[in-house]
Amino acid sequence: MNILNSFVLLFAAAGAYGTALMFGTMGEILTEKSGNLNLGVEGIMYMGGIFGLIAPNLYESAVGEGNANPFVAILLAIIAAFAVGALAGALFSFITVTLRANQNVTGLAMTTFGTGVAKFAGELRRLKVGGYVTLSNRLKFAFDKHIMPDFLKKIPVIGKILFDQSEFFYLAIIVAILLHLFLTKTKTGLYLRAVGESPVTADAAGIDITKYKYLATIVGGGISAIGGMVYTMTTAGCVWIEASLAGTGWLAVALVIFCTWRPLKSTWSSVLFGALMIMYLRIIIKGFPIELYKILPYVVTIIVLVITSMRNIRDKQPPASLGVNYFREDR
Amino acid sequence: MKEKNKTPLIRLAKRVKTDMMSPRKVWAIRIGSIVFAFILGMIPIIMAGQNPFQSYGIIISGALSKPGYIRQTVKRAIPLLGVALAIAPCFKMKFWNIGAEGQITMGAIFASAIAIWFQNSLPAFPLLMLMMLAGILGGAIWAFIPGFFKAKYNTNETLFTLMMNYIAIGIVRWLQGGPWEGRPGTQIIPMFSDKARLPNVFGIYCGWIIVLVLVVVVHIYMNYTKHGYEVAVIGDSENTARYAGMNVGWIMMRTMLLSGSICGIVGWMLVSGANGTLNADVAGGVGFTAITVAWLSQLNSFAMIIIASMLAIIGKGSATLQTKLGVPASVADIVSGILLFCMLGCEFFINYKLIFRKKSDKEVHA
Amino acid sequence: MKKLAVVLLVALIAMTAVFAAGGSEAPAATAAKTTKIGFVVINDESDQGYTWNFTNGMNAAIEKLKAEGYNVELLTKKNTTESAICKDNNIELAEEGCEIIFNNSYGFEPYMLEAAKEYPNVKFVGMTNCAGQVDDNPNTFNAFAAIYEARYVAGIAAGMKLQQEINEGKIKPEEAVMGYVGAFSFAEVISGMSGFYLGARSVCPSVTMKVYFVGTWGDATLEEAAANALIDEGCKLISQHSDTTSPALAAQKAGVYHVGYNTDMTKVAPNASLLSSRIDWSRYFYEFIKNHIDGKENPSDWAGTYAEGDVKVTDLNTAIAAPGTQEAMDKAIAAFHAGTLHVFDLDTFTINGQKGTNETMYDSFAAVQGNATYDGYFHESELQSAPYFVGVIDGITWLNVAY
Repeated sequence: MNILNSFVLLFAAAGAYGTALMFGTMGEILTEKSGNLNLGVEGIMYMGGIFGLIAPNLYESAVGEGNANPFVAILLAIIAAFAVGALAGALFSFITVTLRANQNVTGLAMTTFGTGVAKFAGELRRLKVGGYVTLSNRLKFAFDKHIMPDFLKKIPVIGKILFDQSEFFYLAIIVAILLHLFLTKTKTGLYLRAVGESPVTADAAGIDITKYKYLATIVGGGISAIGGMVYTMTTAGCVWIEASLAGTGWLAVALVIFCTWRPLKSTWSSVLFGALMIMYLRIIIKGFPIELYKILPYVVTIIVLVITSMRNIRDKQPPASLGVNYFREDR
Repeated sequence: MKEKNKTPLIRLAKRVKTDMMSPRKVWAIRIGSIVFAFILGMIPIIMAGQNPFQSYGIIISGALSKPGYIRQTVKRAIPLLGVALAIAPCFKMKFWNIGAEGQITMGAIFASAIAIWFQNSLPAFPLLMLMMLAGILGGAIWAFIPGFFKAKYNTNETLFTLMMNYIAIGIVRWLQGGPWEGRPGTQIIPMFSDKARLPNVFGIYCGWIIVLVLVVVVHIYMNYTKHGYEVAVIGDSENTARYAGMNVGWIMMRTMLLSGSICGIVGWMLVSGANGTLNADVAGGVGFTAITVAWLSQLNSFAMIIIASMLAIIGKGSATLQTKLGVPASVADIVSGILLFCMLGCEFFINYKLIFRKKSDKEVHA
Repeated sequence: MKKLAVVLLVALIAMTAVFAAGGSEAPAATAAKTTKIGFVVINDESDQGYTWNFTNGMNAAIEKLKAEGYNVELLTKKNTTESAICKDNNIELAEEGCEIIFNNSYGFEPYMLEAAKEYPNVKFVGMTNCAGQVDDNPNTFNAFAAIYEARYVAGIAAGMKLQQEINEGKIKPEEAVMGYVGAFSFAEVISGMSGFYLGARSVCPSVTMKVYFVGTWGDATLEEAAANALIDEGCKLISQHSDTTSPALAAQKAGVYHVGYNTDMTKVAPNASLLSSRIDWSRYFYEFIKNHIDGKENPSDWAGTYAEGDVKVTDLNTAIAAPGTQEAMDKAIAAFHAGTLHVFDLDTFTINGQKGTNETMYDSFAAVQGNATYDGYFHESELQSAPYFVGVIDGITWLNVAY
């Protein structure tokens, strides 16, 4: 097999895990743009992962295996994941924005809480159905349907990477484009960025800081949670295994840095990170241990973080107020 | 407020020194928040079909009612307390070091290296001491790197230290499956010989004595030394510190070195005491949980003992609850999470006061 | 601040008192003596594979014991990791009064042995591992089963399918390539995959096999990635020695065939999965617990076999299997029962072009060392239950290694 082909196949395969990362990352980008550093992404993606499975599972057992509509099941999964992520975002905002608690600590508490809730819910549902929670094959395959027509998949090189992917991949791309347009082209997006960059100025200009922080964090949490759902419903094959999702949320936090807070960049960088995670199975470098491949995403992220801060490139910095709460009285 | 009619109905004001809440009220709020958290924590237990009072009873008795239980609970509390102490100086300085997980792991790696290389040639005491020093070195190096870049280039330390965690854990995975592996393919580094293991005192490895000593040391360092004072000044305002002629960059690096060193000590205790060998789960999330311990204790060393014990009790007790009643052990994470949220949130009611607008436009203090 | 400490402490003690009172309301233990059995497992049943299979075996054993009037209670610690947590979980169960504690993952054993030292009256069983039987503690045990025999039978089903494709002209003989998703490159996996390959080659002479080692036991993402990588390498059939069903899903999506492990995966991948090999642990659990209660000795090491029904294959997916598969498998199974079929028959394979020798096949890291190469075949699982065959058979290509 030639090397180009290896890379094509690698990136095509990375699309699946990359899609989960994309949602996780985009959600956190939106959150961080408001100046909220929500380190609870891991917990939020965990919750999205289990509730995105439980919702269609409940639906299917309610209407009967044969009667379940795949479209409804997918919609329910998205809604359930988004809802739980949004709730977590609201909770985070309430504690950090309204009650003004430290964001780092609240985020970490959210991770503890979220993973706990997810594992708990998974176990309870598992005990209820006996054995393990899953969907019928018909629905399962609907969740991982490669929807693009064959002639597109057959285009050399890009066909396999861009068009041999599940429906969620394209949904993620659409969300990325919308997010990009929102942040760069709309007035609301501009205001949101102002809130993240300089809440003092934004406040003086009459922007409702609280409202923006809340909304961005809620929607961001929802989007991140969809990433967890995508993981469970595609890569993991509609089964909940507590340990497999571990670390994905943190990888998303890393990706936000790597793609320097840009939704469009998050698309290909998520796939790149997905590729780095499985590269050891495709591109074998003799004498380079497989475990060290798996730390590459983090090493690359640090390099990006250091270089951007050394060069002090303004448009590649974190939002200036990231992680810092805004108290009007402290002005 | 320029225009009277724009005065909001409720407005907030930060309490200043002159109108601080009375200590009794403060503690009433804090304890109230804990009680409130435990009431909320009943929800998952009820969902699991169990009586919450009986369940809480099992959690407490499962953590404290037998010597064997207490030993396990203390074992859980040791690293939590140790790492909370490590983090305190950084957080005081508003340097958000969330890389304790990696610093523990690095300390564990370095300590293990000494154990693996010298356990057959050195007597127990020098071996253990050398392991400790190596652990300190490992933790310190891992903390210094992000500290250096923060001081020099203002690189975001939260994100930097976070990434460092996963690199350290990845290195352990490599060691576990490579250079230090026992039987190839097993991913197991053989247990250290007894010489490289911390002795037990009252049935628990002696790490508990070490962390209690650290409690006092850190308390003195933070409150009665020049270093501690400098850290506090930087925490209040970096600019003030600069005007006062402090070398902020160096103090940051120095504090990170200290923080990493203590994490390294914990890493050493975990491999030498709790685990008996090195594995990728050696830190096992302690580095993250300890951050919440430190913060909720308001960075007070003695309060950390209480908070760390509370989380250890919930953790150990929930394990017993799972064994006895089959309630998923993850209930510990939920209850801990709720507890953290409530305690984080309650500080607001201590530090701020609500001011209600009255019809007469006179302000009433609530 | 010190006040905070004092007040919190008082509150805590008060709460202890209140809740401890609540706790004592718990129903008292039943009058008849119950034998508590502990079970420390990796993941939980949701893996649909490894632990699911263990749990089913355990539940069957417990039910059978209860039906026979034995008063037993099972306490399980799930999602245990291979770290100090494992030791804690063993201690936890010992403290709860368990008389036997089974550990189901290879990596648990070192931690289990630590706990075993502290609780000499409790029996600890390290399943799939081999150190307990040779250490100084009489209260530690090991068990494993000759899964390579079941994999050999499953290999026959795989070989039949590929031979059918060759005969029908769908693939050329040299395109009969199988892919194997292995966890780590050590004896347990090597022994199993070699058995699988030899089974396939016994009915499809041109078959070859490629192996990727994922470097983890139960990570759905990476197992799927490995399966996909193998499919991209041209493999027409995927088999696995890893804990989740994601390789089966990958095979189903890519339209290739699949042979599973631990559990029937035909439901997960109806168009791909032919059958699975599995260990049936119920006899071991049943006998061990029964012997213990009856005051009889248990063997310090136990190796289940095909002939005794401890390893087996799941029902063949007849909708997609090649005709005659069941008959071919039955022939091999009958030979196992008769003791005439030996998987590692030295005449059926070579290592580097040479006949296998004890040096090239015996794992020098196994707890028990000795000569297993005599009478014309390699005697796997006889010197100890945990596998020790590590020969690299010609025809199997290792694409990477994961130690």
